[in-house]
Parts: sequence; structure tokens; C-alpha cells
Amino acid sequence: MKLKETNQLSGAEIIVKALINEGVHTIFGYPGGAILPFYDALYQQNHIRHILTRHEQAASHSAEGYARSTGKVGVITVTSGPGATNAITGLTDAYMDSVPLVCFSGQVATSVIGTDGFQEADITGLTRSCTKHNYLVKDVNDLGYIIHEAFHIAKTNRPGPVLIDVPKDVQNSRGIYHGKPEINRASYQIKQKKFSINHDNISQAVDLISSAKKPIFYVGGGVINSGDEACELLTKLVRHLGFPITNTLMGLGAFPASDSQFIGMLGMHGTYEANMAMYECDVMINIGARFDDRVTGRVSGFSPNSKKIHIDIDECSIDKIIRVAVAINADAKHAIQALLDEISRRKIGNRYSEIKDWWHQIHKWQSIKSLSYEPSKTSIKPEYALERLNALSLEYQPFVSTDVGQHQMWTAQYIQFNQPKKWLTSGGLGTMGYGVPSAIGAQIAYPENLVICVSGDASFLMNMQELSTIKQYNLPVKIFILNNRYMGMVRQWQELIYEKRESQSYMESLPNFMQLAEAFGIAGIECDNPNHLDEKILAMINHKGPVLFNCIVEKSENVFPMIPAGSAHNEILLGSQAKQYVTKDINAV
Amino acid sequence: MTDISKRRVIAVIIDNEFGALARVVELFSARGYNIETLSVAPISNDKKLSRITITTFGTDKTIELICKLLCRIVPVHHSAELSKDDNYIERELCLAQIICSKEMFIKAKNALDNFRFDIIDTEEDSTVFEIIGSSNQIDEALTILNNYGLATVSRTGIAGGFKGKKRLDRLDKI
Repeated sequence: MKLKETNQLSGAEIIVKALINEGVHTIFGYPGGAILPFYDALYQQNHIRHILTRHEQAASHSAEGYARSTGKVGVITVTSGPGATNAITGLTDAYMDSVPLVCFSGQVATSVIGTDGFQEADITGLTRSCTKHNYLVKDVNDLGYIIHEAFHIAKTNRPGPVLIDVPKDVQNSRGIYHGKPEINRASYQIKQKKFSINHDNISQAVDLISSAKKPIFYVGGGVINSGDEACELLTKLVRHLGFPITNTLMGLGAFPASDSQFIGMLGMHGTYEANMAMYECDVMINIGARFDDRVTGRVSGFSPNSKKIHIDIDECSIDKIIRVAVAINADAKHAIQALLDEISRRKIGNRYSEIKDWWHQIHKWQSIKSLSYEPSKTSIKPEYALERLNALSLEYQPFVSTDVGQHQMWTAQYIQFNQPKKWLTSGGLGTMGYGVPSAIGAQIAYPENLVICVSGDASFLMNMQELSTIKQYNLPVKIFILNNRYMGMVRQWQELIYEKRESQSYMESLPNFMQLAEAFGIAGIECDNPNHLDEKILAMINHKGPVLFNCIVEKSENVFPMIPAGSAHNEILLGSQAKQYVTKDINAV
Repeated sequence: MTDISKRRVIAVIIDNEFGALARVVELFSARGYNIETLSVAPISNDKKLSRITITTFGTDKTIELICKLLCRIVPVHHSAELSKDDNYIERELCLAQIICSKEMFIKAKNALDNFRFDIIDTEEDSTVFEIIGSSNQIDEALTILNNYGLATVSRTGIAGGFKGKKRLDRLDKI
């Protein structure tokens, strides 16, 4: 018996061991009272690197950036109460965008739970609706298995965040850790067994594909989550068939943007050609996208004449918003492979010339040049700034993160993503403050690569304390702020829908960004002259360390095209039509 | 598919662990749906599995989505709407106490003649009936007892299942 006892570990040591066994090298977090035993165990090992952010929300977004850029599970460690509640925004963000995270939260001792103890919060209760699963560990002997199960759940099926709440006494007490076990939770295996490539469905899908006259691929983040191989197979499939393809915001990079078959992002601020093609198509092949309201516009007017194929790993996303003709509940990689196999079995070749009329129509829509804007010689147009940023950074294939708002949409429109996992943005939740910490996560994972965070003056302020993290770890992140002194997207909606009543959207008192950079000990660059922009962007890219770039842009520029909330794809507004716009549905968001 | 909100019976087989029931219930409350009845108890010998039966009101579309979302909950093994094609059975048990004179009690007892009931407790002028039936039948019995000094009511919510050999845990195999 004695021998066994010496083999026992403290709960805190079990967490460290289990993380090592999961292949975790990097975690993001912030210590505090209830998680001190873990931090003490962390101090006494040298396998895991801990990145100390300056706020738990930033820790969770950094872990998201790390996870999305690497395809691994992001790990966060936070203390109880406020530490854990601060992390909730990141967990919710990860839940909406299907990012695999495991969050460890400290908790007050089991004997104190439920007594309103200091820094106590019912975090499993609070996070139940924003995590894929969560645990409150009451027995140290369960801890090891729970951690490995949590990793398994976070990264399999539709990925998502999992939270493990570990009371302080559980971290301190000793128990047995059995190493990494086989995860065989029956209820979860049942879900996995449901994924099946049903040959009838594949066959029906290929029937539609082979006879389509106006087909379109509509591809989302699910393909990127499915892995690099899925993206390669997708590219092979799309090129083989010669069909046009549009990506959702989350799907950018799943198919190379430089390819002539790519017709741009779709949705509220997608290109005219992508949205019109979605409206007019006769066969829509949706892979890994969930008919989000930013994509569909008014559901009753969504692609009225098409037969739809929907491949999704999440059964809940199928037939949720839009009824489809062929539903394939499977991992994108396997489904695309099955489609390729069936296409080759039937000897279906490239159909580009058979759908020549359709391409002709699409080229006509493209000739409208929906992303064009009025150039200026005196002020920097935000579109111009991003065009230049794209041109000057493209050779580095940078990781690009954004915050949320106008700058996010312009970045999605003007930066070309030719590879998956290079694009980090908060799609589902739309979290201002996501950009800087997620760039930190990507830079930690890829210290040698160019990582750019495109932000706005308002969004940047939401997590600007992370400049301190950037400085501490000497991360060469380039923060490119499109500064228009406004919450630009709020102002845009107020201009279009609320007769220009700019309620609370003007950033009255911005900091001096150059002095701010200096205060945090990083380089600052400022530019308000389009003639100097190239040279300054190059200076930013070539600078070895982090840079805060204050790009002062035209104040009242709006993002176009725009499908106003509550409108259908064919009601898309171009910049030139904005003045005639009359709101149809004030309740649409 | 209709937009009409109607009574639904939903059954769930789930791991018997803390937090599991809360995850199920939350799917309803998050959509502003009230749970009319809910019953939950372990159903396997080792007590590792529980069965939850819920009645609620909702539209086809929302209930279909809730059922899919239920299946997504990690500890949920199986879930389905039993009332989808009326091919299901349900029973509820109710304890109804009346406080009244002897004469009234005899009248009450006779009035319940068409119902399946037992008397499980009597003390002075208090009587507790155990009534078993569908929720509708129990509603009717309680309406009758209202005339005979109905004092307290405690209902279990329903237990339900498919008719015949169809089984919740084998739906995928049909």
C-alpha cells in the first residue's frame, strides 16, 4: 500500500502530467488564489510554456488564435470567480466558431462551494450554454480521465470549448493518475457512429453535380476545421469540376483566393458576383457552412431556385435554417473524398465548358467591380490601405487577425488568403477585442512568421493591455489600426438606418497611439498620407519587433457591397446605390 | 411543418450525473419554452443511465431543432419526440388530497368511478387519492375533485414511450 501512495500525485501535478500527455507545449492564462496549486506545479516543471496575458478574456482569445492557426487544442488556465467569468467571452466565441479549447478554472474548495465564498462563481452553471461540455471535478482520482476526455471532446466532431472546474482542495489532494486512457464514453461514441458516408446520398449529390447548369460551391470554416487534407481535397474537387466557389467569412483560405474560380466572400458584405450567383444558382454545394444569417440574408428570399446539398459534421446545422435536398452528416474530408471517388467512378470530367453560360453571367457580375471605391489623393481610404497591405505582405503569406467591424469586413474583402488557418477572425460572436490576443496566439505558435492584426480604433482599445504581453514575450506582432475615430460599423448603420444620428459611436477621446506604443516599449508608426503609405507599411513589415501602426483613414467611408439585414441576396446594395436605401426591417440585426 | 404550437412529449436517455439534467432543461428555457412536466429517474440496474420525459408546447421547427440539440449534449445517448406521429403511450401519476366530510368523500369516490385510482392515506377528514392515467385523464379527475374539497395536488409528470417494438435507443437501427 505504501508503494502505491508514493506513486500518487497531487491534483495540480496530474493536470501538468495530463497536459504533457496530450502533447500540450503552450498554455495561456492568469494566476489567482484558487488556481495557485496548479501554478506551483507549473513552476516546478519545464515541459509546458505558460503565456501570461494581461486579462483572462485575452487568454481565451489567444488560445483561440493558437488553436485556429495550428489546428491543435488551445489551453487556458484561469482562477475562480472573476478569472473564470472574464474567460467566458472567449469560450462563447470559440463555441460559435467551433474552436477547440480546454479551459481549466480554479474553484473554491469543495467544502466552500455554494456558500458565496471569496471569488466563488458557479462557473459550470455560467458556461453550460457556451461550452460543448463542462466538468466540476469533485474527486482527484477522476481528474486525469476527465482531462483526457475533455481534450477528446474539444477536438472531435464539431470542435468546441470544454471547461474543467477544479476546486483548490482537489488540486492539493493526492490521487492516482493512470496516464492517457482510451476514451470510450458510450454517449459520445453514439454521436460519432452517426457520421456515415451513405452511398445513396453521395450518389444523389453527384447526380445534382453532374447535371447542374448553374452550380456553386458555398464553403465554410468546417472544411478548415476538418484539416489541411480536406482543403486540398476541396481544391482538387472544385478545380476538377470547374465550378465557381464562394467562401464564408470563416471559410476564407479553404480554397485559394488567387484562383480564378474563386468569386470572393459571400454574405452581408460579400462580393456582388458571389451573392448574385448564390441567388441565381440551380445547385448549391454547401460544405462546412451553416447558413448563418450573415450569409443567407432574408431566409424567405434565399436562393429560391436551387437544389441544395449540405455536408456538415453537426447534424443540428442541417435543415436548421434552410431545408436541403441532400444532407450528408459527415466530416468534410471524408465526404469530399467520397464525392471525388464517385465522380471519378462515373468518369465525370471538367464541366467548365458545359456551364459556359453560367460563367459568362458570373463574369458579367464581376465586371461591375463591386469592391471598387473612389480613390483619394489627400486622405487614406481604408480600402486602399488594405489593398496596399495585401500587396506588400502577400509574399510572406502572413497570418492575419482582425477585431470586429468595418475593418474586419474590408480585411475579408481585400486580403487574399491562399492557405487555410491563416485567417483569424471572430465570425459568429463578433467579439471586439479578439484581434490583438488572437494574433498573440498565432505568433506564439509561429514565432518566425509575419502576423498582422488589422484592428479599428475602437476595437483595439478593448484589449490594448495585451501590448504588455507582446512586449514581455517580444512577439513581433504588427498591429495595423484603421483609425477613423468611429465605431465605424455602428456609424455606418446609423447613417443608413437611423438618419445619421450618430449616437455614441464617435470616439471622442482617443489616446495618442504613438505615445501609447512608446509607453509599452514597442515601435509606433503613424500615417495619414496615402503617398507615404507604402513606405510605412514596408517599414512595419521589416521591423524586427512588434509595431503599433496608427493608420489614419477617411472618417466616413462605408463598407460595400451590403445586403442590408432583412434583405435577400439580389437586393444587394452597391456603394453608389446607398443613398436610395430605405430600411425594410428595423428588427433585423 | 407548421408554425402551430402544440403539446409535445420528448424522451431522453442520458448519463445519470450532475449537470446533465440542467443542460437538457436549458435548451428549452433558452428558447423561452416552458416545460409543462418533467420526470427523471435512473433506468438501468447500475443506475448509470436515466430517462427524462418532458412535455412542452412548441412548433414543429423548434421542437425538431431542440431534439437535434439534445442529441448534441455530451451525456445524452438518445433523444426523440415521442408525440411526432401519435404512436406513443403515456401515463402520469397524481396524488390528490381532499378534505371534506364523510358524505362528500363517498360522493367523491363514486365520482371517480371511471378513473384508475387508489386511496393511499386517510386521516380524520383528509383523504389522498392516487390517480393514474394520461395527463388529460388526470386533469379531468382533478376537475371533478374540485367539487369535493380538493386541497393539495402533486403530479409526477408523465412517463412515456413508443408503442410496440419501437425503442428510443434503437431508432437509428430502424
